[in-house]
Amino acid sequence: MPKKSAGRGGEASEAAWNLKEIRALMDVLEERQISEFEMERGGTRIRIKRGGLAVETPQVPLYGNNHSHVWPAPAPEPSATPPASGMPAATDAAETVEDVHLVKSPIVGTFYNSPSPNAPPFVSVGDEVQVGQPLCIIEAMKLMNEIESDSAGEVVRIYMENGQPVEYGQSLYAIRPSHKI
Amino acid sequence: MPTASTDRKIDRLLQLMAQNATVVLPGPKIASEIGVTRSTVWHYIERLRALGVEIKGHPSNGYQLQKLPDILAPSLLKLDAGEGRIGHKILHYFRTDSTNSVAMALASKGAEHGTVVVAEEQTAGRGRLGRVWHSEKSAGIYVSVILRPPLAPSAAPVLTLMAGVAVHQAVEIAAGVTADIRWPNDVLVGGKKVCGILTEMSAELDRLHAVVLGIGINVNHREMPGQLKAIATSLRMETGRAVSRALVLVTLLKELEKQYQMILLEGGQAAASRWAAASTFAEGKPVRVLTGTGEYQAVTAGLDARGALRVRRGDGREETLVAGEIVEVR
Repeated sequence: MPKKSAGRGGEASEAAWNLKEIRALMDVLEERQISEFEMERGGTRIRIKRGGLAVETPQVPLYGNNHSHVWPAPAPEPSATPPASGMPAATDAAETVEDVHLVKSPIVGTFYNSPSPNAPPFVSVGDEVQVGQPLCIIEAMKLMNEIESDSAGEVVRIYMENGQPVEYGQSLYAIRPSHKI
Repeated sequence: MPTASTDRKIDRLLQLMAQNATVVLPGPKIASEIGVTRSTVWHYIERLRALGVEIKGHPSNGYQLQKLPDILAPSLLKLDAGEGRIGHKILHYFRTDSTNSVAMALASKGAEHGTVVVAEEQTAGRGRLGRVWHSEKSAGIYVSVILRPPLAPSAAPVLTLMAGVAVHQAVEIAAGVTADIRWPNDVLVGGKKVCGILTEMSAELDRLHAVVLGIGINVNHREMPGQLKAIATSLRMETGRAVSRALVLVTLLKELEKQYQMILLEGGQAAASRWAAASTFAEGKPVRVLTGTGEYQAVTAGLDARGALRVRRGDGREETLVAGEIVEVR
């Protein structure tokens, strides 16, 4: 688990990323099937996406993160990042931050796209969803967290597959708000 | 919830009869006390009899309670939880679809922390992932507790360990059996499940609205239906005698309050260490780990501060389980 060492953002002694650390991190992400990961340390942000593995370390200031969780929330999709393989590409123009709303996981756990193994998924790409409509369940230690949509619109992307582990703050769904259409 | 006001009236009827246990209460007196017709009183009496409550008499000469029934009505529980404590408000149903569904609906309408929903019978008892929870009439305890903890959603899973520890304590104290806890919160007696816990949370990314602990305990079942025989048991089946459901429930609610206060005071680590002290699964237990993506064998190696279970695989690799299930390898 990389969390212990990776979590203490901003400590001077840990400020610089070295290649060895990045490689180790990539191995863990691969093993755990985490599709994207981003964190900041000492003013340097690292962002890793699996599937074509785009690694970028732009120098950006820390944005507001007033809670003490180990895993910071990933930033919204930058338009420059090529879509990961196997994910539906946004073909009609690059999606900017204002275009889509990202639904993120409030807990570390397992992602379920349906209420029970034999049931159809709560939602699929292309579905119109309403505020409060269930999207998925995240389970941690038999605590079931039904994630509801907090925006009305079209599901344009699903980042997770059924049964996959999910981290805190990881993007689950991208929803294009209906008032934009 | 259409049955709620009827259930309040039957509770009132039970309370009235319990307070006057040695006398015959005339039907008209009962009718006027609880504000229903005499024929409705008779209908209520029949419903109570169907739940195993022993009541002598009939409409013409009145009714008398033969002995204090083991019904989970608030007036019979004598919990006396203080304001803001778990169980300060108890909603008792003779029959409902699922206490968790009722509690989640109440929570979404703003029900207070500590509100308890309990039913004599569930018609659609739920387990994890759409599974059914066998809810035999008046044999088990079907209870859901609404919590509004001042915790981040990410810190909430430890509450499921807390629930397991509280059930473990309640079962040992009230039934006098030796119990075990399988991670995260299956309470076992004689190696079989006596309890199932379904915890549901309503939360946003950084704000927890409510956690509902749904707890089902097999108390006085005389036997388990076919496919459950191998994996489930009841307190009665293990002890050979009837166990007071009211006593188990009251002990459970008190234990939950105790453990909950401890978590608020000392943090999640407190629940994890209480769990480890009560469970033989905490350390050195050979288990099979079942995850969403496969299964493997491992040996347990303690809990981390969040309550996640560490396991060591055959090749020495350590994993930390946040989800998934374990079963003992014998």
